Amino acid sequence: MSLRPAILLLLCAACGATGEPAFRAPLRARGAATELTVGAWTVTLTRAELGLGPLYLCATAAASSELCATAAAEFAAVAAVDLLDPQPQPLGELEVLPGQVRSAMLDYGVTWLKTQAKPRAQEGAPGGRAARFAGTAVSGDMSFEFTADLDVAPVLRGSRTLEGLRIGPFELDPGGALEVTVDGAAWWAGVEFDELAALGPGPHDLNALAAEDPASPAADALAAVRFAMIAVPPRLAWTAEE
Amino acid sequence: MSRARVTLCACLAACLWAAPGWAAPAVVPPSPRHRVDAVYPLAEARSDTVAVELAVTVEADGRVGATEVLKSGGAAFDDAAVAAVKQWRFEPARRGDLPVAVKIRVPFSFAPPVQPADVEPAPSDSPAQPAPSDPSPAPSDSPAQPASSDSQPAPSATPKQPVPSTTSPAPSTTPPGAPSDSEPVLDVAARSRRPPPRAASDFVVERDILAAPPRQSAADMLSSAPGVYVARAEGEAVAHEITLRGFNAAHGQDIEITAGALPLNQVSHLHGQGYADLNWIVPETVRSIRVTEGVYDPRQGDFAVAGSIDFDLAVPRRGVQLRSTGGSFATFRQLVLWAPKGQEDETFAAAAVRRTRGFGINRGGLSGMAMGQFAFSAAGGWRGKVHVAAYAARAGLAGVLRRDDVAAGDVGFYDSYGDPSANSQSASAARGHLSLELERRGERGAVTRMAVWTALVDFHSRENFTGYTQRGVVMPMWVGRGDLIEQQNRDFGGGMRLSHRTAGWRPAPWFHAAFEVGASARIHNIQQAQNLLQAPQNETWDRRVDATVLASDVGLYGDLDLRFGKRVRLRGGGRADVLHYDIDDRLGNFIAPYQIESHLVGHRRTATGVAAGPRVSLEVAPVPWVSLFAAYGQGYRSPQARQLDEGERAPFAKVHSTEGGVRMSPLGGRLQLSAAGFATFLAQDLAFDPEEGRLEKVGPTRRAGAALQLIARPLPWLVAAGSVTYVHAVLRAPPPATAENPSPPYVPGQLLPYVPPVVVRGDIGIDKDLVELGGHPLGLRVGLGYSYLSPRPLPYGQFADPVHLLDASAAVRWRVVEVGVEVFNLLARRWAATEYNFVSDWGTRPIPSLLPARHFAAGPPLSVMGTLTLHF
Repeated sequence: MSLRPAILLLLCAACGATGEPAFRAPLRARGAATELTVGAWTVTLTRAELGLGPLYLCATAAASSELCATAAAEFAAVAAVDLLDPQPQPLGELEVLPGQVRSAMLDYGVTWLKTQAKPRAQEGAPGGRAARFAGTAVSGDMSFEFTADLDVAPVLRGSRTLEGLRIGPFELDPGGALEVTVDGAAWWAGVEFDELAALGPGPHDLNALAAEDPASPAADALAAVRFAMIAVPPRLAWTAEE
Repeated sequence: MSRARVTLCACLAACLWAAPGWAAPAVVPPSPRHRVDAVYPLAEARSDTVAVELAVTVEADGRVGATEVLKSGGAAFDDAAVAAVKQWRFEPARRGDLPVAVKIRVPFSFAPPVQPADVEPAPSDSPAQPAPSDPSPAPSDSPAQPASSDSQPAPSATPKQPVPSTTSPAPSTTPPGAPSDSEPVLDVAARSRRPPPRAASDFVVERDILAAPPRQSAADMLSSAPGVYVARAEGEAVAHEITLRGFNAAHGQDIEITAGALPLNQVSHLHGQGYADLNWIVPETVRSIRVTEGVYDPRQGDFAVAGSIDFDLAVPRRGVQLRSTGGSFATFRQLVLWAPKGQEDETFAAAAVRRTRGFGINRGGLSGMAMGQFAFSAAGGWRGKVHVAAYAARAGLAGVLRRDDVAAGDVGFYDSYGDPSANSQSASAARGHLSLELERRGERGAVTRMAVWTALVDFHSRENFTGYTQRGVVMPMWVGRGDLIEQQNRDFGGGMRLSHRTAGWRPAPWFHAAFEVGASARIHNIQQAQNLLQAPQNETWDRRVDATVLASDVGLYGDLDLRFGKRVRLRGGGRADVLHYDIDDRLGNFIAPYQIESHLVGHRRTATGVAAGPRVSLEVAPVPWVSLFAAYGQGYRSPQARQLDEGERAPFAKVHSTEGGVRMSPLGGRLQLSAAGFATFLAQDLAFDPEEGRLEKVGPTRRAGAALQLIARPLPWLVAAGSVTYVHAVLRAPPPATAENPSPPYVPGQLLPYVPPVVVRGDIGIDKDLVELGGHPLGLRVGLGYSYLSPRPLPYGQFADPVHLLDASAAVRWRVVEVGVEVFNLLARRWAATEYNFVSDWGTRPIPSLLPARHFAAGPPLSVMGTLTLHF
């Protein structure tokens, strides 16, 4: 009787693992439009920087700090994204566990970790803020310039700014990359530029104006952008690596 | 037609195979290896010859156990005879390949010292002396002689010629032809501690192997069984973690652990189902351990999934033992052990205190244990044993560390996170129990056994595995206060066991049958609480569990023993257990703060279920020293009570266990070999969940592998044992879906985490008298124990580092004093007692990772202990 089958069986039995090992995948981000029309106003962004991260992909249908205590992939850092550049910008590497993901959660560079007493911008956030914008609004013969720095932070300690972001579902396989697309111009769609124009010829530092008068149109504009940053989240796609 | 021919041929072959006579091999009586002369009590000198007769239990390891004076010659002569025979060493009696304890009659004759003409020189112990142990065994089925537990006829005794001393003035030794020189064995089975094996992997680790390498606890002794790995990962005052043949049984979830009639697994324990804390057992009182790897015996009950373990508590070496141990890390242990001479080996009292500073931050501990046992004979042929024990311990726990934090230098390998929550980790345990066992042996193997027990066991721990990841359930705004999980489990329970084995029925010379029926019952009242604490004040900031569980288990089994001639034995039957739970979950139907209150919090429910299954084993012995085994059985593990819904039929985790193998004992039993191949299928496995600090379901699993064990006793003073176990443990289906992960990743053939594929163990023990010094032997004892674990798979494709551990001891004894040294982890390996892979946040990085990371609990470094033992 040959021993070969037994030896082969033994060798076969010795192989295997508890699952596929973790791998790293590129994380890229790109901007979308730089210009939008809001009523009679044409708004052109001349600067749009966003702090992206930390970012987590989750197997659960609705990612949250409670339902996604263990992530399937993560970018545990913050990187600045130039939203004016439509080309993919490498932000770093994503740590990935193979498997299917259905949701994501992320911060815009400002975190409120479970161990933090209050929200705080992480290293890598542009200017220590979640986002920084500058642009020009033109309507007929009227125009003005504006700048705005925004802090968009989690509302609850230990949570994420954006939770329950549905994605895919897609399988995280080695050889893929995560691509994030952010339409920064769309975040200004809810701003009342007529009211901002009434403030004067500009340029308007919206943060300074809002600090002077919390009821000013500048404060409303900042609130509208903050709301849009939550309501119009980035789009995430798992693509084959080039 | 062809099938009929095959059946006929098989029957004929079986009939030819089955020679007339009873099935099991006869008992070969013990023979003395080392004798010590009795000293004539000159103060009580008489002019006539004084005769003393002793009934002496020769244990399976060859040592002299209990002695009883059958015929007294006066207290001084009785004591002299007992003192002498206690120093004798025997080649143990054997039934087939198994050493068994027997009771023999040993007469002593003290001739008067004033009659020098009668004095004969005492026989020396030199090998040249003709061995007086050769009388041919004579079968003795007479009812006057108690029969063995499995109704084997007691063979004749081979009592050595007693040899009192001839010191000057020379008292006489036994004259040749002294009466009762060939008294038969009085009783074989009453002390035959272990039933015959059910399978090739039904092991008994005897005292000589247990005592070979140094041991810090009784649980450490388990590592000498094939395929067993034992670690004290969490620290002192917490139960050991046991891996048995491919099962990471954690604190006992997959192993039925008993000490005689006393079950040690705790049902529905908050820290882990089947939690079994063995720290109350004084290791010096463990005579042997039976490790049954697999489920083949109808007596195996709840938690017998990987198998079962039974501790046999007795002290063969009688007298008073005072043992002090001290050494590394300010560790100190004091033992007092009293085993009254002339009493049964099962009669003893022991107490020990252990204190240590620990091998790193927050690892100190203090424990005390006391236990006593009294074996007695009662009217009507009943024999009994009362056992009582108490134990208390408290210790600091260092917890686990992230590998990446250690690699980055954020924390030392043996340290704890320098954090109030980490430094507040601790555990305490306390227990007290009482048991009574009764046994009555009848003719032709009939045995009736009864046992009752009660136990109060308390467990309290504060452990933080994950750092700062938890959010309050009661107050969701409370977060990041530290995941210091407080668990309390207080269990008061009691139970009983009954069994009766019928007398052997032999309708034909080649056929023998016996039947045993038994029942067991236990009931527990369990108080459980789990909270989150905020260090350092240990303020409660969240409540997770507040429950009372009443758990009951009523089991019934039947076991048929059929022997066909000398060579074929078929045993088997069935077992059924009814489990009932009444759960008062005081936090059930919890109302979160953001919900409208529509009811009152609390959920009371009951559930009952039945677990039943067959067990069978076939043994074929083609030659007396070879036995082939095939075995199959179904076992079960009861569910965690709080996971049951109202009316649920108790979803037991059922295991199908099968094995084939061989046991050999050539060279007169000096060499013992067992080899087995096995496969085990489990319906629902559990794995440790660090977030909740308890076990969670992982799905159905399969284990297949092989085990090889070799024990050699080539010389009376040398024992060597080695084993290799290989197992391939895989998940058979994806883990259960959860809200967190609706489709857990699964690859066919995916390895089961935490199970080491290869476990190697080696033990060597030397116990020898070297030279005479001042008229007393100078003895040397050396022991080595080596364990190897191949890399253990961890979740998410990770593997733990392999483990190499070498422990060694050496001691010199002279008269009543023994001085020794014990070294643990002699290779000074930096090793992880256990490893996990999970998410944690200890504040060592600006943004915490939510990916699983490798964590470990450090194993003890090189430790050196000195021992001083006085034995009176």
